[in-house]
Amino acid sequence: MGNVSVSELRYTVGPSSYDSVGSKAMQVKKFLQDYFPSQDYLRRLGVCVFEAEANLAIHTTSGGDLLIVIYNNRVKVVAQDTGPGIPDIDKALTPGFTTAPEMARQLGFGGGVGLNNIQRFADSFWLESLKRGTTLVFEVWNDDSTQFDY
Amino acid sequence: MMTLRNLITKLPFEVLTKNCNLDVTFQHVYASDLLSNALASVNPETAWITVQVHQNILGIASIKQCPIIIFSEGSTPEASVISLAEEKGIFLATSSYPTFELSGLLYCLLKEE
Repeated sequence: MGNVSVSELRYTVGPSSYDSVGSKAMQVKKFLQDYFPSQDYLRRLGVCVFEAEANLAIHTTSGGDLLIVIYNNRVKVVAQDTGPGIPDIDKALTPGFTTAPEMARQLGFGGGVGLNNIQRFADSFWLESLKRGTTLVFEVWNDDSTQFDY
Repeated sequence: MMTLRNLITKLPFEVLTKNCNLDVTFQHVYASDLLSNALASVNPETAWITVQVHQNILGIASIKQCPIIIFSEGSTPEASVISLAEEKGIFLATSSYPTFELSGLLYCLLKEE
């Protein structure tokens, strides 16, 4: 894959929009088919975008935004919201720990491994949170240096 | 490795989707109702067993290119979910077996192949 010009995709995810979780990830994957022919790569990216989308739907009071930036062989994803924030990031990153509401859990969300999935499948991961909002940034690189079983 | 065509003749379940490609093959079975676990684990060679019937499962199957979802415990999705699965070429079937027993049956079938 050679150099390509920078492209951006932007999505808004509503609070408690459980029904549509996955729809943005599918759109991103579809759009990127033209950029990245590797199905393995698209599946890996799809997992991460799905989880970011699910987190915005499940955990935010007012929803949030997803920004997808494509440049060269990498895709950067920024998930941003306006609260309520993550009080303890270490806890949030502990597999199995969840604060998902009952409604989300009944649907199979809230297993407490969403962020861990992103850490596992992405090539970089950054998470910052204050009461007034959380920003999650990760990149998924399309190169041969990352070997996953996915 | 097993074809969907072969699976249908051997397992007592109700096929929900029409016009699916029965030549699709799978070589793993994964059973989980936690979406994140399934998202991490299913792949194009997986048949996924779950009781979850809402449309998010199709997002997961689509993203991971998982071609087969089998519902256990008699779980059955709404017609809109079945139509969407047909559009996406994802095979859906439902079985009255509990997840444990359905998993065991599939395990034995795959081992025989």
